[in-house]
Amino acid sequence: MSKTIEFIYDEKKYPLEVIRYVFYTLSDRFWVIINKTENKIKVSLEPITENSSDIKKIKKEIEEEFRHELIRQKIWNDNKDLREYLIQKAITYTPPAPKSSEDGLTPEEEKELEKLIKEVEEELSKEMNKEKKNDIKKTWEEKYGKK
Amino acid sequence: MTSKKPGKKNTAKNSLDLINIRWRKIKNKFIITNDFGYYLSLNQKEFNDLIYKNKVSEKLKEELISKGFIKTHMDFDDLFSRWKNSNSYLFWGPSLHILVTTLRCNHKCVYCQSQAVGISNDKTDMPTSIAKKSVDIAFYSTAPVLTFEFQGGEPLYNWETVSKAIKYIREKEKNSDKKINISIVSNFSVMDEKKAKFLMENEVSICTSLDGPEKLHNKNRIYTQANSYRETIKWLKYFNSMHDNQTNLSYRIFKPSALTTISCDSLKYHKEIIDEFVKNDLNTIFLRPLSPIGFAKKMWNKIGYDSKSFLKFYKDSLNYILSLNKKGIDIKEKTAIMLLNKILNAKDSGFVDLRCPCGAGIGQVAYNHNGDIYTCDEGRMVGWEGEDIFKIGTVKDSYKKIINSLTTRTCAITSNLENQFTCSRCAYRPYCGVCPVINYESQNDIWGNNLSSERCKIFMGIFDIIFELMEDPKNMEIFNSWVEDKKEITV
Amino acid sequence: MKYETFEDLYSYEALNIAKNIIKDGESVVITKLKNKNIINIDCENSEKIFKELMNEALNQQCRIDLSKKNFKVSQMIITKALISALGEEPKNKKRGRK
Repeated sequence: MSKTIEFIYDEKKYPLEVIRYVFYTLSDRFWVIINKTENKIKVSLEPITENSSDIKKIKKEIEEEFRHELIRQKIWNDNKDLREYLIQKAITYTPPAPKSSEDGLTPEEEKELEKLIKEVEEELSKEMNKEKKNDIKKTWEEKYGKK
Repeated sequence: MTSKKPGKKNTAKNSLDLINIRWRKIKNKFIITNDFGYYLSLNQKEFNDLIYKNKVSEKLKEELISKGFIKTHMDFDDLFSRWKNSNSYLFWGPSLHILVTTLRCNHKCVYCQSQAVGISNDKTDMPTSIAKKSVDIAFYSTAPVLTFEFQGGEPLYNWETVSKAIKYIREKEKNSDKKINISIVSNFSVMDEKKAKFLMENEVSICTSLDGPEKLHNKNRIYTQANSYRETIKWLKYFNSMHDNQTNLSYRIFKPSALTTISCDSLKYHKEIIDEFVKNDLNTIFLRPLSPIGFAKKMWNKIGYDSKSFLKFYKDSLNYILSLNKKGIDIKEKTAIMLLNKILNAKDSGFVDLRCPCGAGIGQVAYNHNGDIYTCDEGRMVGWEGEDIFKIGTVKDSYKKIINSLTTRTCAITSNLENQFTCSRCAYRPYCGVCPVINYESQNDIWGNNLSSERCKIFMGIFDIIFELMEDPKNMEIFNSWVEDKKEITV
Repeated sequence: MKYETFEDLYSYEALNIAKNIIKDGESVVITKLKNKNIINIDCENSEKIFKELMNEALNQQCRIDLSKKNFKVSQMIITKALISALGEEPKNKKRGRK
């Protein structure tokens, strides 16, 4: 049976962007119309073909998609700045020169390495100070210790 | 890897501090991935605990940390180098240069996308001057490795241009610090020993089409003057023999390879097709779905199929290939190799269709017989239908003008997965790509709509199949051997 | 047939792009008002065309939403890809064949 199902959402609880995406995922099976009613968002779903109208199943699907999408949004919002920082760093990343591990390091090389570690740590801590929310600093000992 | 907490107290609500995580449910498992291409397979409980409760076992937490899922413990060197490796194509220009040296062909393949014409129509032969200009433009590319691929029609029909272009490329190579690969895709119907010798001496990789056993191959690849299958096999044996018996030569002879095109008739014969490859000493098979472009688009109701049908064929084929591997038979599937290299080794496979952004104009360039230049071979086929939407210039233009064309930039923007809202959420985002040409041809929209995209369904399905198979340790052993294999895989 | 949609639900940009993609989109005329868009469909099958238009506009609007959010990362990747491809035209280097 071809029947229109309607859903009403409070935009404060479900952001418009989330509503749009969730109902987009059904747009291969349903005609989706988003409208406004009394300061709320109303979504009408009408099956494109007769087969696609098992209401219980659709409601369950929508609920699960909302749960997933809200979590995605939260993680995305929490990490937007950090992600931009990481991608930028990855693009400009230069791998460190490989160690000649067979002969071990000479005292001069060890001194040079310690100096380099100190410089990078200082640079990292400067950059971390710029980050408002996220604490992602790892010490060198932790980093090398776990390998 | 230790799970030491950082010095600063973590006050965020999300106590695991997950950073951009994407997930997909495959049967009763969840695959999670991140921007760096790391993945983990979780059962339902682990996934629910992770996403909804932020509490997981210590063992899982350590795995999450070691793979960069938790932002308070990140090994930058590992993550950045992994990201850079898997996106290495971002750091140089087009490496694949396709020269369509003629549209003449003596075959009438049912799925032909290349708009082949009759053998007397030499107006579609690329003049040598245009071929040389194309090569000159290609050498301006910033890519350290260039691959020149001669295609058609049947490129051997324009032997004069092909041979002179190959010599020209090898000459230019002497004054360049680039590594050069050359390949030719031929149906072998006009191959002879003189041409074969020239190609081998100039280290040209030979690739042909083999659609399966004789009956199937000839049904797909109609050749009225002779038996297409027998010509193909004859020359495959010849080149295989030359490769296997090469000694004390000043040049390398590469093992020949074959491409198989899956038509709707092919879907019932996965075993037979794979057995044909094994029988003819071809140890890599590339199971590519047909794309609705060019002539194939017009014939789609006769030769085409939907994503479900192809995925069943692909799954059956991959399972059969794995069973052969378990018996010690050396046969691999190329799509799987390319995806596994990305998943397991964070390595760009060189497949320009599966990149972000796609390789249109910036990873590959197609030079048509008349000197028109297109974003890719598929773009060229759209051009043949009268719509030059994917044309980026001509051989009279400079390299920079071609790369900087509006079309190149548009394709880059529309194929950037950061702008595709289904892709940006998809677990396979680190390994996948979209094709603006196929979007345009099949959906009338260069951006596309992944929900109704058969291409998206096919690739998602292939990823699902591969991740499912990876759950079995015996399959993983085989998959690892495929991607560790140092032997050359041509074309 | 005449329909109304809110600009904040389906932007004029999304509707316009959708109109150019759907079949029979040439019978659709979209007029932008302050907070609304008026959609006029002069065709027999106007209801079906409207539904197709709205589904496609939803697709485009989701994309537009994302483009705004991911602008920086998207730009970084595109810029890197295009600049790397452009490079500098190399000078002729004479070296022996490897």
